[in-house]
Order: sequence, then C-alpha cells, then structure tokens
Amino acid sequence: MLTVNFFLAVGAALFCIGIYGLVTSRNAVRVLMSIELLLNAVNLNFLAFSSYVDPVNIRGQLFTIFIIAVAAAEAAIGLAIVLAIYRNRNTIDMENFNLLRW
Amino acid sequence: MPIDVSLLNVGAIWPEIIVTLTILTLMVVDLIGGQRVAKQLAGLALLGLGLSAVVIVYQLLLQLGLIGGPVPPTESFLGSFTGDPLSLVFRGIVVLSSTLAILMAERYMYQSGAQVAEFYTLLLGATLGGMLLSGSTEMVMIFIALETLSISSYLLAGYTKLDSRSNEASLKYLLVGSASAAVFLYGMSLLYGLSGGETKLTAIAPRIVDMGFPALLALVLVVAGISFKLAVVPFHQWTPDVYEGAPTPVVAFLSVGSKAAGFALAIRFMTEAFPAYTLQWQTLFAGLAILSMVLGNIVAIAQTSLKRLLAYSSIAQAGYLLIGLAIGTVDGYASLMFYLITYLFMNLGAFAAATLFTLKTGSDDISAFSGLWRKDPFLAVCLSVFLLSLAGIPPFAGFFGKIYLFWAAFQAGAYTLLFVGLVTSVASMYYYLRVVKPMVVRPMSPEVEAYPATNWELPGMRSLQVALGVSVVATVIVGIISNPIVSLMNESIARTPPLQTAKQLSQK
Repeated sequence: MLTVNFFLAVGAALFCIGIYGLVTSRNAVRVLMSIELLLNAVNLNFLAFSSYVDPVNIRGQLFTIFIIAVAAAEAAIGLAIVLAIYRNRNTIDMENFNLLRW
Repeated sequence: MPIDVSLLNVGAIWPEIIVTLTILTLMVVDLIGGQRVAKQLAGLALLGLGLSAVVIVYQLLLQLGLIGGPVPPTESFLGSFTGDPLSLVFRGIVVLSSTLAILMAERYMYQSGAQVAEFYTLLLGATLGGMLLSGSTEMVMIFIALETLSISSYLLAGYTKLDSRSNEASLKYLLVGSASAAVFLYGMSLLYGLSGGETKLTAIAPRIVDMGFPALLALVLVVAGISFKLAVVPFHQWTPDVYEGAPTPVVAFLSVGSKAAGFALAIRFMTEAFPAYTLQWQTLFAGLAILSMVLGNIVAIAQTSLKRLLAYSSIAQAGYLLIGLAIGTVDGYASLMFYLITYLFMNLGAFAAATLFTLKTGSDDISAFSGLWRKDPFLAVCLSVFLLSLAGIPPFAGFFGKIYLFWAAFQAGAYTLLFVGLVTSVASMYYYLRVVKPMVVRPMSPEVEAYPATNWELPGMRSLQVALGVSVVATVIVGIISNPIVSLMNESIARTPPLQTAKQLSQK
C-alpha cells in the first residue's frame, strides 16, 4: 500500500537531484533542465497531497496546472536568453560567463 | 458552484485593470503606428500609471476615512486578493518607482537604439506583477503574481540583447530566480499538505499551530524564497551582477519596485500564515537583517563601479528595512513603509544620476566622477544629495527614515539590531562620501574633461530632468514632512486586518 510518505520521498529525492544538477552543471541548458526537475518535484508534492489530504477540492492539482504553465514560460525565456548568449559569445558553458564577477 | 459576480468585488483591482489596459493599448498602438509613434509611447505608459496611482490614492483615502466614512477593506476574488491599506501603500510605491523608471528610460532607450514599445510593455508587466503581489492572500495567486514580476524582470535585465554583459546578467538572474521560486514553491507545497489542503494564507494559520518541525521547515523554505526577492544576504549573489549588467533604468525599478513588492509579500505571508511562529520568523529575519547590514556595507567599501556600489548599498538598505519586519510591532511596520518611501526617492534618484552620467561619458567608475562639480554642478548636487541621504545624513529623508526605524527598534527592545544598524550606518558614510568628496575637491577626471554640456532639449532628456528633479525635491522634503506621512502609515496599518490579528496573537 502506497502512503503519502512514499510520494513525498520521491519528490524530495527529485528536488535534491535538481539542486545537485543546478550546482554542478556547466552547460546552461542542463541547468535549465535541473530547474525543471525542481519544479516537477514540487508538482509531485502537490499532487500527492492533493489526492491524500484534499481529494474533494483538489486545489493541489489546480496549483500544479499553474506551475506547469509558468514553468513552460520560464523555460521558453531561459532558452531565448541562452540563444542570445550563444549568438554573442559562441558558448553556453557556465564557466565562461565571467564578464561579471560572481 | 454558481458564483455571484458581485461577491468577487472586482473594484479592488481597478489600479491593476488600468495598468493591464495600458499594456494592451501600448501594444496595439505600436502595432498600428510603428516607428512614427515611438516617441509618444512613454507618455502613454506614464498616463496609465498616473491614472492607476490616482485610483490607488482615492481608494486609500476612502479606506482611511479621509473622504467619506471609513470603508472597511473587503476581500476580492473569493479571498485571493485584498485591497487593504497595506497593499494600497505598497502598490503605490511600486507604481511610483515604475513611473520614475520610465522617465529615466526614455533617453536611455533613445540613445541605445533598442525597441521602445516592448520595453514599456515589459516594465508595465513587471509593475502589474508587483502590484498584484502586494495584495495577494492566496498561494496560487502569490505564485502567479511573483512569476509575472520575475519573468518580466528577467527579460528586462537582458533587454540590451547585443550587450553580452546584459545577457549574462539576465541568465544569472533567471537561473537564481527560478531556483529560488522552486524553493519557495516547495515550502508552499509543504504548507498545503500540512494544513490539510488549504491554499489561503489565513486558512493555513490555525491548522499549523502545533506542527513543530515540518511547519518550521516550510517556514524556512518560504523565507528563503522571499529573501531572494528582497536581495538580502545570503540570497544576494545575483544582485551586484544584475545591477552591473542590466540597463540602468531597469536596475532602478528592480532595486525599489521589485523589492517593495517582496516586502509586501514578506509582511503578508508571515503575519497571515505564520502568526503561531512569530518568534521563529522574527529571529530568522533579524539574523538576515544583521547579515545584510554587515556584509552589504563592508563589501560596498571595496567597489569601484558606482552601479556595483549602489547594488551593495541596496543590500545594506534591505537589511535596515528588515529591522522593521523583524521587530514586528505596528511602529516597526510603519517605519518600514516610511523608510521604503524615502528609499524610493533617494535610490531612484541615485540611479537617475548614474544614468545621466553614463549616457554622457559611457562610464560608471567612481573615479570618473572626480571634479564633476566644475562641469555639471546640477548633476553633482543631485547625486550628492541622494548619496548623503542614503548614508543617513540630516536633513535629508534617509536620516528621518533611519531615525524612525531605529526608534521603533529601541522601543521594541531589539538592542542588537539597533546596535548593528547604528554601527553599520556610520561605517556606510565612508563609501558614500568616497563618491561625493572627489566630485567637489578632486581635479577633473579625463571623462569629466571631455564632458559635453547638458542639452535638456534633446529627445527624452526633459523626462530625465523631471525624474532627477522630483527625486531631489522629494528627498529633501519627505524628511521635513515625515510626521504626517508616518501617521498616515500608522493609520494604514491600524486599518489592515491581518496585522491586527498578528498583533493580538503575538501578545498572547
């Protein structure tokens, strides 16, 4: 029998993988993918809570739809910025983005 | 479930409706008119913001009972949004900062040759997000408003797309911003589960009272997400990069408008969803305030570019503002709002001065400002006033703002915060004066030697002059008329229901 804890554990693991990818990736597109992982971990959390503790109003499922829509917008803009950088600099390696000090 | 439209209470979002209509009008006018109308678009955007500001002031006066009987604030959209005095003050600040940013952007856009219509559309979009964020009381609404603000800001930061520094600023802002939005969302998902399926902040509060560790985890995640918007240490790394790389008018908006919306969110989220954990979140914010004040002011000393200096200075200012939140008294909130108003004028003014100087010399190095007094006394005086006000030197507005904040901290017994605030604001005078002094006493730098005479008749220069003038007058005057403004803020807080309940809960 699957309990809500199982889904929460998967969500937390996914979130941690996302954070790991965010910190270690050198390719800007991989960093964007890691952010998608973070958002999907949150989605999983919302869906799990929604079906276990809020099966009538399903507010969590509605929240997830909003998150997916916004994540799409964010990915579109992220890729557009990566494209602009590639046109100017011919690289999307994060290590090379050092015109501004961190 | 049938919904009665009158229950939605749509009237509360009239200011936002006006801004939305302005955005649509801007896009249509640009589509039809093309290049011929490019010069009129700023006027159109300003008109929309002005109308919106008028409605905000009207609603505020109405709710405070200054015209007609006091109207109690009602929730709109079935509890997703509220137009209470707290939100009205913050929406006013966001609109005002956007107005000043547009005034200083006009010349910048003209000189950089970028498309103007999209710029105003995006800036108004960010304004809209900030305004909605100030009044949101429900988690989905908060998330959507936050992302409206953030996504527009990412695009604005990368607006000069042929400049690779602007690209880089935009990418860093986007990556850090969306990661922190994800952390914020993770915290909200925990809140949703712990409260048993509630998304309204006030409905969450009673259900997480005795949760212990899980609720605290959610609290920490939410605070981390909000702190990114406030740009406080240790969530500040994006600030100097974005401030240096992004177009200056955009930075001006980000440093005030976006930050004001973040503070509105912080106040509302903490007082409505976490009244049972008041001690914990106040301790958290007190720690963040101390870190920001210390680190922001120390690192600012080492900067050589004026925009980076203003970036670290704004981190430090966020620390001072957090004092008002961390003590959590009515006086604390009132002085936070008052300091935000003074900060609005002095910081936007400093960025307007930096914009003008950069437009004329192409440099924003602090050493380039030497001897500016002899070539352009007006700009030198303006910049000095703003920087001295940021340093908290009387008789400018910043001094009075700090006095109210520190006094509120003293009355609340937050002596550590008070001590750190006092010591760091004395230390901060050093780096502000490091810009002011060479302007007057040093010989002219090569940039200033080649400084062209200011021609206010050039397109867009007049509005930059207006922005500078308004900021300088306000920076001088707001301090003198601080008493009525602070009592207005006090009155606004007294009529904001969540802050009332927060006060009662913390007294128990």
